[in-house]
Amino acid sequence: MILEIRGLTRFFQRLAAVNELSFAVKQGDIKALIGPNGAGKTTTFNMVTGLLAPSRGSVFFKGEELATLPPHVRARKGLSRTFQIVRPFAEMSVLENVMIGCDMRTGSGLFSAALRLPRSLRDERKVRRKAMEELEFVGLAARANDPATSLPMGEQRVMEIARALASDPEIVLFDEPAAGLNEKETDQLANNLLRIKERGITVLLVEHDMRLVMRVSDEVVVINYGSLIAEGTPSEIRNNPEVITAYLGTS
Amino acid sequence: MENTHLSQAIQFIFAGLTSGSIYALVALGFDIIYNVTLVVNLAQGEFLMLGAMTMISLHSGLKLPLPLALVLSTLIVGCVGILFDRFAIRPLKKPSIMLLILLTIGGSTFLKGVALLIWGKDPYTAPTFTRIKSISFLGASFSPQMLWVIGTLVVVSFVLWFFFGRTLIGKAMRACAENQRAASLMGVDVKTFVMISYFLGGALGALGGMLIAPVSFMVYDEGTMMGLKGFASAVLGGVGSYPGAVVGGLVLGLLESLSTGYVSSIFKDILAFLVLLCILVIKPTGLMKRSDE
Amino acid sequence: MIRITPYILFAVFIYLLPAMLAGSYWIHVLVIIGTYVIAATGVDLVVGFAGQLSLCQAAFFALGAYASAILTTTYHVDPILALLIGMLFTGLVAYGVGAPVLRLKGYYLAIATLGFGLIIQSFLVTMAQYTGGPDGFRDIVPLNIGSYTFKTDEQYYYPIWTVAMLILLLTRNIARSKIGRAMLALRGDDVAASAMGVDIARYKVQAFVLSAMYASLAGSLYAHSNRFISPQMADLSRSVEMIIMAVLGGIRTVFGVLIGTTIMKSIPEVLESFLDYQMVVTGAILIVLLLYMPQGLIGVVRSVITRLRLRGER
Repeated sequence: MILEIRGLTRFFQRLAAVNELSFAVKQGDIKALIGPNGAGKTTTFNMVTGLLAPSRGSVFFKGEELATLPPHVRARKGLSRTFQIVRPFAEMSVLENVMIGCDMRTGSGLFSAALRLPRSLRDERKVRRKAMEELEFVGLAARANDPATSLPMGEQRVMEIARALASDPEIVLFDEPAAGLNEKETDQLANNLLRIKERGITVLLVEHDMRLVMRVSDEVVVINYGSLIAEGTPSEIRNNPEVITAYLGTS
Repeated sequence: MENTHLSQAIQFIFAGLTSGSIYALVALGFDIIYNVTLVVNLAQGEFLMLGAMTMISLHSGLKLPLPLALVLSTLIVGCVGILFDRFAIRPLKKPSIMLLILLTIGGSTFLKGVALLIWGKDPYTAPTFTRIKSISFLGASFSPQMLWVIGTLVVVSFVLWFFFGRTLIGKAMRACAENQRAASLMGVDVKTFVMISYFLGGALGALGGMLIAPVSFMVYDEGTMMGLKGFASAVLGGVGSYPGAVVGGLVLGLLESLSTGYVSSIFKDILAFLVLLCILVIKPTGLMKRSDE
Repeated sequence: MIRITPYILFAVFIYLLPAMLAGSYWIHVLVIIGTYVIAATGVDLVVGFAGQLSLCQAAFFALGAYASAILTTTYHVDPILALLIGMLFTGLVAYGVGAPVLRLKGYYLAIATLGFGLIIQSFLVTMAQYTGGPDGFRDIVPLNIGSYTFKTDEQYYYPIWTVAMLILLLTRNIARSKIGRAMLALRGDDVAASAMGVDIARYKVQAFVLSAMYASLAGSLYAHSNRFISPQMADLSRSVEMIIMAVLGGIRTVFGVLIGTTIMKSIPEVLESFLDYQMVVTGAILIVLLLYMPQGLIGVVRSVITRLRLRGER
């Protein structure tokens, strides 16, 4: 189990947005976290990635409790993510955006950078190469030198995936990656997710698009009002009466 | 029978309430503009300075009667506020926090520069509003100007409470900040309300300046420190909260006065800065607001 | 290799300039510009790259200036050593202030740095026994390296501009490295930067401390070359001027800093009785710059070129 959530709880004022949530993600799986709007999915995500502190409960990554570790430390441990509303780094090119992801894997510091010592130059070349590789993987290599903000939203999403992969993570958390995508883009996304799985990277995704979820997931976790209501394979979930009730007719 | 400890304490308290009232007026000006436009106007202190200087020029220079000078100054600086918004803020096409901060700083530098050109570096004084020299109370003597200051704060607080809480325009102005687009869709003229808020911000700042000028000297760069303290007061009470501005200002004034009197005068200017830092680290939403608002 | 040529040409130009201007008052102005280029580069780093609105850079400049003045003139410390001590001291002060303050955002950070600048200025005025008070510090000992003493503007010109160009080069290298990227990322979106492994607190503080040390270095050089300093140099309006220097030419570019600083420090020479108008002009420039030319002069030139190019393509 590469990621384990035990008794995760988060209060906002007196309301529990997430309530004693527990589930685990098996290494190499694609696991989907679904639920109606306001069920607590993004809150859970933000607690796993370190943006939000849980009121109770813990998150275990590779057996280690993450506790109060800040997001950048979690990233270095191999936990990467994308965002529901794209967050590109403005004023930088697509390639530079992805390079940020790799930078955490290099050791050169201020001194060697200022003096352009060989170590720093070597790291630059390494990072640039790795970033291009990831851009090729997602099919954005042609746009490498364009300003990140000049890309249409769908392509910025894809760039974020490359950026998340650049650090050679062990797990990537996708926050509603299909939101706002058309059918063709969603199919491309599904392909990318499966190819990421082929690389041995675990995926945890929050999604609303049921077709996508059913197509790529090995396991699905359903939550509502902050609590777990079902967990299992996509076909088990599809036929679960509680899940159907929770969605009340949403496909 | 004179109890010197008590009279000294009362002296400090009154001094603190006086300066605190000025800070509160500056903070109220911040809050009004912020509540309608979401801009923190870092030139607020300059409105205070301009109010005082204009009043002094009108009264001591042009020999206008004091009440007329007061009213005219308030109107003039209120208009300066409107012009400030019109030329320094509104033309901004892509608002971002950094740009807004720099623009208001630029505006404050500009206004300071104008004041420097008109009035030079000399300190100016103004006559007190009433000619009584001093009042004695429980062994402490103080200037009746202090009563004017505190009294004005009380009146202003009441007027603002009435305006924003009870009148239609005031309530509509509150709606403005909550959702500018929705407000404009409902026929509310956002531009006019922005203008009104800047006028009020300027007027309140000017009022503070005119009240304090007789008690301490006014120089062209006095505004910066006053603006900083007014901002600290607003943050202390919770940015955007009018009762918070009053409470924050009075608390800051009292803290300053008491620490200057009982500990050391080094604290006078540093205190506001330290208070600001403490609040921002401990409870950033200020004293009056609940943490999760 | 081709990209280095403009810089080499520039260096050659800089070294030949005094000969061309022999004896002119402008050499004095260029010496001042040289010191402010160093400070403005620091501002470009902390404001332009890391996106932290620091309004106390002039206070760090003053700290360096006064540290050098006091140590060399009152305590007869060797000027180079005093300069280094000044940089270290200012760096430590910046670290002490920066670590808590840089956690703040937006207005709070700006006001906190503003307040800090005011405190430093007030401190310089009140500690008159060491600093000379509001009237300033006169007759500062000249800079010397070993047995060679710098006395005239022509003599100061070379070391100051050598340092300035070195600083520009080092900063350019930093900007093009992972550190520059990290700072720009944290400026663009600090949440995303953090999620991508950037230790935003560390880079913010690094930028702030570095910029403070640059400012201190600049201040020390200014103190020796100008021989007179006053607390006015720590004023908020000076910090604002430094921000304009970094932004006016074009943010985050070497030539932008050079252009911006040259313009800002040349204006007093062109406008007579400028001292009275300095604040008004500074405020007006900043407002016009931000409202109508946020990309700076280089940005204006670029958009003009692009427009001409598009028109040519039709």
